[in-house]
Amino acid sequence: MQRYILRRLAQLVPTLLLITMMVFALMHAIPGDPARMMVGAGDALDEAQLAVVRREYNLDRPVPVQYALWLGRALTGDLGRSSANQRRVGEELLLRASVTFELGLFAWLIAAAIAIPAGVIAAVHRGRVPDFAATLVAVGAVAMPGFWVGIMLILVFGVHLRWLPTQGYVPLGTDLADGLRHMVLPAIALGITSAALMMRQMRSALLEVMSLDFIRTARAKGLAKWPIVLGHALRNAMLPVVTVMGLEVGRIFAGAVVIETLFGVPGMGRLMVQAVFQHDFMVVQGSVLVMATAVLAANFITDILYTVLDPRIRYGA
Amino acid sequence: MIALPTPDSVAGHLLRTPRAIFGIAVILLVLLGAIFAEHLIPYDTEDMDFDALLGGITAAHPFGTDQLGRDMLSRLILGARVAMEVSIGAVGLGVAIGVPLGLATAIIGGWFDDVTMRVMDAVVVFPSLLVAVALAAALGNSLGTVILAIGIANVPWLARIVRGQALGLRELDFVAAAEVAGTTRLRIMTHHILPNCLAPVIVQTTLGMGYAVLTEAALGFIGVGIQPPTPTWGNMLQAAFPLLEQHPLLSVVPGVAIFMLVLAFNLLGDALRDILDPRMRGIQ
Repeated sequence: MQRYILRRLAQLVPTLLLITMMVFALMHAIPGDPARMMVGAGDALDEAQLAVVRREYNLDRPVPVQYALWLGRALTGDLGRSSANQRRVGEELLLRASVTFELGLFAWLIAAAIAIPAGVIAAVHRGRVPDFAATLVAVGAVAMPGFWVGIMLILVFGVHLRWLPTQGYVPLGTDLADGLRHMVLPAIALGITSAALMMRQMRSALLEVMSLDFIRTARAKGLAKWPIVLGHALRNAMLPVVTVMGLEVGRIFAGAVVIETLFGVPGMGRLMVQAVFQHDFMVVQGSVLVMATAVLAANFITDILYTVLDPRIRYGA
Repeated sequence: MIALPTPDSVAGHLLRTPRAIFGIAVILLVLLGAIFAEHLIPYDTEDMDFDALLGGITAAHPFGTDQLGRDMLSRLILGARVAMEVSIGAVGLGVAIGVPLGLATAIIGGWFDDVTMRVMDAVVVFPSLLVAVALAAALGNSLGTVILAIGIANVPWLARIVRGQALGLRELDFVAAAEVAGTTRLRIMTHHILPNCLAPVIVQTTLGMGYAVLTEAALGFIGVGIQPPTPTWGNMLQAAFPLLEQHPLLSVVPGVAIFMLVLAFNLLGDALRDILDPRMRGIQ
C-alpha cells in the first residue's frame, strides 16, 4: 500500500513538470515583446528600461534557461508581479484561492449530498416514478450551462422572491450566516452538473452491484431490502462514485471561472478573467498553474482513496 | 470491447428509440438553421426596430427584441451557426489528433506510449474552459481560438479510448491471423483495428459536441469567446444579463436554445451507447 502510494507520488513528478512546461510555453506563444508584456506599460518604456526588465525576468537568456529559472522561482512561490497593480501574483492567488476553495468545497458537498441519496433511491425504485423523476432531472441538469442555471436562480430567488443576495462574498469567518447566504446560489449553480453526473453514477453502480450473487445470497438469507442496500451493496457501489466525485473537482474549478464572474465572488476564477481583460499575463499564468496543480492533486487523492476503499485493488504493489 | 454493428442495424435501432429521434430531429433543425441562416432570418441581425426596444413575444418578433430593437429569433439562428461551427470544429480537431495518436501508442508501444500517455495525463488536468480563457489571453478571441481550446481538451479522452480499444483488439485472433498472413502493421492498424475502435469514438464525439456547445456559451458569457457583433448564444446571454430584472425573456431564450441542443447531443449519444454497447443497456 505504502509502496503503491509512493510509486504514484513519483509518477506525479513528470506530469507536474509537463504541466509547468505547458503553462510556460503558453505564455511564450504570445506574439510581441515579452518584456513589454510582463510590465504591461506598453510604449511608455524606453530601451534602457526594457533592458532592465529583460535582465530582471531573465528574458535575455536562452528559453530552456528561462524555463528553469522560472520554475525555480515558482517552486518558492514567486510567480512574478501583476502588471496591472504590481502586487505579487503568489500572494494575490493565495488570498483568492481560499475563496475559490470555500465555494468549490461548498458546491461539491451540496452536489454529493443531493446525488448520493437520490442515486440510491432511484436505483432501489428502478423503473418506477422516483427513478424516472431523478433521471429526468439529471438528464436535464447536465444539458444546462451551470451559469445559466445561476442566472435563472438569480431571477427567481434574487429578483422575484428577494430571498437571497445575488452578488458579492462575505467571508465565513466574519459572519457565518451572511457568508452562507451569499454562498448558496453560486454553490448550487456550480455544483448542479456534478450532482447530476454523481447521481447517475451512483444509480448505475448500485444497480450493477445489486445484480451480483452475494446480494442474491443476502436476499435468500431473508435480509430485508434496506439493510441489504445500505449494509452490503452501497459500500461496494461507492468505488466508481468516488472516482466521479474526484474527477468533478476539475469541472468545479473550471466552472468557478464563470460562476465567480456571474455572482461577483472574488476568487481565483474571477481574478483570471479580469486579468485576461487587463492583459495581465503573469496573473493568468499563475492562476492556470495553481488550478491545474489543484486538479492534479485532486485526481491523485481520488486514486489513493480508491485503493484504500477497495482492498481487492493493490495494483501489483 | 465494443464491436461495431452494421450501419443499417444501428440506424434501425436509432429510429425505434424515441430519445434518439428527438436528438436527431433537434440537431438537424439546428444544422439546417446554421447552414441556411441568411435565407431563414426574418430580419438582418443588426436591424434595429426602435418601436420595439426590449419587445415581448409578438407576431413580428416571435422571441421578442433586445435593448437595441434587434430581432431575437434572427440572432438566435445566426448563433446556431457559431454553436455548430464550434462543436463540429472542436470535436473534429479532437478526432483528427486523438484517434491517430491513440492508435499509434497502442501499435508502437514502448517509450512512445509512455511519453504520449504522460503528456495526455498532463493535458487532462487543464479543464477546457481554463485552456480557452488562457488561450484567449495569449492569442486573442476568435472562432479559431475557441475551437482550438475545446479541441485540445478533447484529444486525451479520444486517445485514451482508442488506445484502450486497440490494445484489446491487438490480442484477438483475427489480428493474429492477419499478421500471420503477412499484412503490414500499418494496414492492420487502418483496416482491422481502426474500424473496430469506432463505436466508442462515435459515442464520445456525440457527447463531446454537446460539451463544446456548453463551453462556447460559458466563454461567450464571460466575454472571452467570439466577440459581438457576431451573435453567439453565449454573448447574447452576456448582453442580456444587466437587463435580467427589466426583461428576463432575453436571458431565457438563448439558454433554452443551448439546453435543447445539448440535450439533443446527449440523448443521441446515450442512445448510441446503448445500441453499440449492449452491456450498458438500461444501466446508464
